[in-house]
Amino acid sequence: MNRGQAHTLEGIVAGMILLASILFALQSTVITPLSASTSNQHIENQHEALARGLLTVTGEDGTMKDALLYWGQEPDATENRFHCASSKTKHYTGNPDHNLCSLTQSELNTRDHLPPNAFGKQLEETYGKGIATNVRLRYLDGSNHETQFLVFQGEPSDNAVSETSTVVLYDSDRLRTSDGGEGAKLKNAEDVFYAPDNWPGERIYNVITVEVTVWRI
Amino acid sequence: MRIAKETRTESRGGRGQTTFDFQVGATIFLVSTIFVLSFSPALLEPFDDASKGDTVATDRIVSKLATDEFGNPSKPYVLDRGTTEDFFDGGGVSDIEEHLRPGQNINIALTGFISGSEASLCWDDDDRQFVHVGDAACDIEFEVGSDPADQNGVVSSRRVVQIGGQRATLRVRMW
Repeated sequence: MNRGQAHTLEGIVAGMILLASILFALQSTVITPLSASTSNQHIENQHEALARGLLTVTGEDGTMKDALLYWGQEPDATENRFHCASSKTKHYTGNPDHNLCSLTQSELNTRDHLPPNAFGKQLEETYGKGIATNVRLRYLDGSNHETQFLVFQGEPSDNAVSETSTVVLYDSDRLRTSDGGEGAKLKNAEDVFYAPDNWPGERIYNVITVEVTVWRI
Repeated sequence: MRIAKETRTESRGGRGQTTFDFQVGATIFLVSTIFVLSFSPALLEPFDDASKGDTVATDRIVSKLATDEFGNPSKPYVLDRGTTEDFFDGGGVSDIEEHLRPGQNINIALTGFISGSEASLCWDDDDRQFVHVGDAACDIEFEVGSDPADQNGVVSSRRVVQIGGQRATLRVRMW
């Protein structure tokens, strides 16, 4: 009779049974946070611990403070930015380049780079390729928290980790020039620096919270 | 008069099955079979990694060394050179090794950047500075354990530390 259509039907039903069994097997396997993938928990733990160590160590030997004070001292306030950063963003946007300050401004505006000082070097040595970092500085302006980025490499992914540390700037601290030398005192440089003097009569200039966010790309 | 020519919409000797129907059914079946057979090995992949336990062990070991044993818990990640030298020189790693399973190996190293290249550090007592392992002036090496160069499944954990003013990375590897 119509046995032929039965063969076709059998073929389709057999295929569906096979697919259903695959589905069943899939439901029973478990992907754990430690499975090999881009969001491995162990790697995230390591990044977090490395950020913690980085902040502690650079806070201890003063390289973090040097990086915070590595800001331009031009009289025209709109011209000021972190030394040798892009003039559009005023902060650094990525890959390390140690000959940075010898480039022209238009070249700087088109390149991504990390801070050309010891802090940027330590960031590069700790994390290397394939890992993006953001370094965000939050300071007080009156009672408001304002943000200035030191390094910005994009919006963090869902698997980013971050660590924070606090640095106190005093009126007697000096800005750094682009070759690392000492510049004007902070109390005289309030109109060029990104953070204002939040306590005008006191020795403290401002308190900066440094937040390092790290993720894999 | 009977029309001699029959319109043949059926093939295969009139079994009621067209070629096209058969093709569709057989194709669907074959495609799904091939898909299932090629996908099955990937189902077992998350369970393949036999060294999962080591990730926790390396993390705990490097954390304890960097924040407690080599320095002071109140100043984590700042290492004391004397205590660190005693550990690397005096076989302190045997305390760790006696807790490993048979067949497990460990390598603990303090690496740093000197003159642009990174390698294990070594203390030069005469000039009182850090050099790389392999340098002629090297006195106390900051590395213990065998080299896992050709192994698969090596798990490592790292911490950024400071030792005697030199920034370094403490790295523990197990396999």
